[in-house]
Amino acid sequence: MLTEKQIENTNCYHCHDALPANVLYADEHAFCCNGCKQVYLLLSANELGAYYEQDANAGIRPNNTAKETFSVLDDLELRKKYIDFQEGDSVRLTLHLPQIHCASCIFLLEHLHRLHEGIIRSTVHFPKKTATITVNTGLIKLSELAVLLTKTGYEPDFKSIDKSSSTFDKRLLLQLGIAGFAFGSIMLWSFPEYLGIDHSYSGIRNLSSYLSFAVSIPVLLFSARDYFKSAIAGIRLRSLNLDIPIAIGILALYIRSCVAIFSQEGPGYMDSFAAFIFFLLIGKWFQGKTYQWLSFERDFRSYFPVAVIKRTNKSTSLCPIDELQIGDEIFIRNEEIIPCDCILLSEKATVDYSFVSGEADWIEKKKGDLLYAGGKNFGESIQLAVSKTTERSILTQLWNEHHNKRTELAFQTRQDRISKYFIAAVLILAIVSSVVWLWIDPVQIPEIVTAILIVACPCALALSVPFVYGNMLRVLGKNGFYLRNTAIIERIQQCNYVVFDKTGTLTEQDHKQIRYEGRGLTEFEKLSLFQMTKHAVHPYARGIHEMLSLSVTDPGQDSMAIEIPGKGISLGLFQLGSAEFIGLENLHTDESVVYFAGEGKLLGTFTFQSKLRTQLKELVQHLAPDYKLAVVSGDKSKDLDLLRDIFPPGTSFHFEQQPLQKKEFIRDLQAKGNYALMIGDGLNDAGALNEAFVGIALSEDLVRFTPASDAILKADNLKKLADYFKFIRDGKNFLRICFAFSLCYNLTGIGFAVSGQLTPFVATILMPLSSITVVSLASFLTIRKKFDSVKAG
Amino acid sequence: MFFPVFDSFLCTMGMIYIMLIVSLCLAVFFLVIFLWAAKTGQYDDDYSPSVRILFEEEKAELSNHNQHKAKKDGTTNSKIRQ
Repeated sequence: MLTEKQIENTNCYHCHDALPANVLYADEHAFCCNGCKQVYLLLSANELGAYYEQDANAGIRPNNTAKETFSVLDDLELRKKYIDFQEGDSVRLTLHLPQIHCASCIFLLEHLHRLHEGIIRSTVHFPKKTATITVNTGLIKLSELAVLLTKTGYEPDFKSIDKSSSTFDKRLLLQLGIAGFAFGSIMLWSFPEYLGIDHSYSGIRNLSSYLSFAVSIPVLLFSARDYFKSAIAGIRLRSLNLDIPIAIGILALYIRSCVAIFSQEGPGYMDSFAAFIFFLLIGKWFQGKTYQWLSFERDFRSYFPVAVIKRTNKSTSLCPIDELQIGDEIFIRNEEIIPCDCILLSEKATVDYSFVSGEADWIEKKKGDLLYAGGKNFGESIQLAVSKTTERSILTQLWNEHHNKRTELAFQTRQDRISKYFIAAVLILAIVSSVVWLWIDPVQIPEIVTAILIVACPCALALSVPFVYGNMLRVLGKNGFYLRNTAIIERIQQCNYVVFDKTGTLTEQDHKQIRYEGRGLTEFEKLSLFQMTKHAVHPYARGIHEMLSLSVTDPGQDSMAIEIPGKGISLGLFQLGSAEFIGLENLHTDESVVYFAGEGKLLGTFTFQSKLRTQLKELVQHLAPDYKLAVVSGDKSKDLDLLRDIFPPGTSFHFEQQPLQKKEFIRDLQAKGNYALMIGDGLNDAGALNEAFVGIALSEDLVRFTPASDAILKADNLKKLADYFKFIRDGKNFLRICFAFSLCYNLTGIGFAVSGQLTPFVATILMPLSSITVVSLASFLTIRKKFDSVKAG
Repeated sequence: MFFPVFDSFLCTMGMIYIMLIVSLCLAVFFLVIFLWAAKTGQYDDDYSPSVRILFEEEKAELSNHNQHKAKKDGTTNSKIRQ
């Protein structure tokens, strides 16, 4: 009876992945791996079974990572960065847990005290994906806490704690609150004015005017401060930005209103003034709501360990990688990453440079060899002597060059370019109309000029960009394309050259096509192969295992296979590995081949071919008319034919490119006047991503490491890239429409102003009306976009 | 017309003076609440409180409840025995 139910369940009860061939069971529930089962058992033993009821997506498959890295938390000096507060044994710390994703996560993390008595309290901050945990260190060590979290699937990420963004948000909220308060109050007090109160009620008029004046002071000094600052900076740097006409408009409004108040003519334009600031700040707030939980700023530091074990005299201690000196002796354990260029002191080592080169690339090193930073050690712990500090290592130097020279300042947004003409037009208009009024009535000239400056204030214009681009940012985010901020949208519109990385970007990262050549294998041989690869760590062996697990039904008993890291595996008479390992001449030089031999005779070979992502051809077809294309790869040119089939004839291919060469390729392109858009995925592309006008990092899942970039794209959505670009280019037109509307309002207002008919009442109606039109227009144009055209495929 | 007293100039204007002050006080009251809430970070996380409120402390409370019950029962039983 039970089994029927189990068969129906095709997904893991905990992590919801599809179940593999060998399923584990506990309490009638099916699990894909031991890790998931352990989490379930841990939770149910502590009566936290409700975890699965909070949200349908509950559960994260726990990773098997080295637990040693958490020893940083037990070092009193090093852990200071993460600890908020400490008194005696009780410690409060904030950890970044990038796996937080649903209501169940909050449930579990806030009930941690049930899992261990040493944990006193825990609170989750969902948008930032952090948990603030208070523990009693007498009962649980902080490293044990980190291990417990990792066991339940929430591995702490020590590298990206960023506390700066929230203070900015808070200040903006305060500014917004004060402006809103002033706007509401002044408008209320101005109602008698709108309804035509006259001089016979001067008492009430004066009171409301003076109250308005009092309330407006914090708006001018606090809420509007950033616009003045930015305008002054713009004038100083001689680059005209939109904040200049805004600041002029604000000042004109304010001074005109003060004059009106103190000459007892009523409250002037104070209501428009407060409303104006309020709307502008709303635009800013809207634009600023970006993805707090995604990190676009990661550098090599977020990839390297926080600290390594250093040997001084005869004792060992933890040392932060920034403090390593040339000549220091350090230990690197199994699966740890080498933090700087080093000389190997141990007899030999196997290092995996897949993060640097993009390929599964295991290299044997002997005593005295130079090991570059970024490699992962496999096998026994190794002893190294530091030959270059982390900052100076080959790989990390990519970041140290001043790649960000060409920053936002030099780049003029469309808005800023328009504002140049805008300022000129307003000034000319003001001069011309004052000259004309010289003949009509010279006394009115100051009145007319201030009126023109007031209505020409580009409020609606300033709101167009935040709302059009802010909405686009959100629409794209919902579809798996996350941009750092709205300025990136304009940059993408300018790009004319798209450069792809190959490994992991055009090809799938984890899945390769495996081709078997040789004689047919018997059941026994298959089974032996299955056993040999079962506990292997090398990605190729795991690939073969995965392939076999489809056909092998009865796994049989576990047997003892011997794996020699980086070389091969042997079991009884069977051998699997490199040609050298088996004792054969290498027949294939270019390709990734694994040899399988029995009793010293070659039985067959497994060839690993890159598998291109789905619908790549369609993507290239869509991109080709609008963009020039290029492919740069750190690989050998073995996949050239595969790519030639897909890319149009004009595409340039560059193989065997070191990270630095990739960066220089981009630099050359841009020196020739191109605007390059680079799409890459690994640490080896980081330099190029930074150098490019727009760098897009491709990520299999958003939690994993992504190099610093302007945008992050979910790998599954690469096929939709052409659609995204089209939508982004359409943004130009959306913006034009909004600009046109807001200019219409400005022109209407100027009509009133030039003819000397602008009254506070007209301004009060015109200004919010224009803002609201533009905001709703922007929402209407952008939000209805759907990306389902490609989704169907 | 019904209340000639309120129809006089003084009372109408007086009313508006009062309303002005009241509106200011109300607005300041809400402003202060808003500023306090923003400063203490209540707008930072707009998702987890909505989840947190639904957590059922059922297990802990139930067992407490049962214990209470057991105690009560125990006392009554002993009383009966006495």
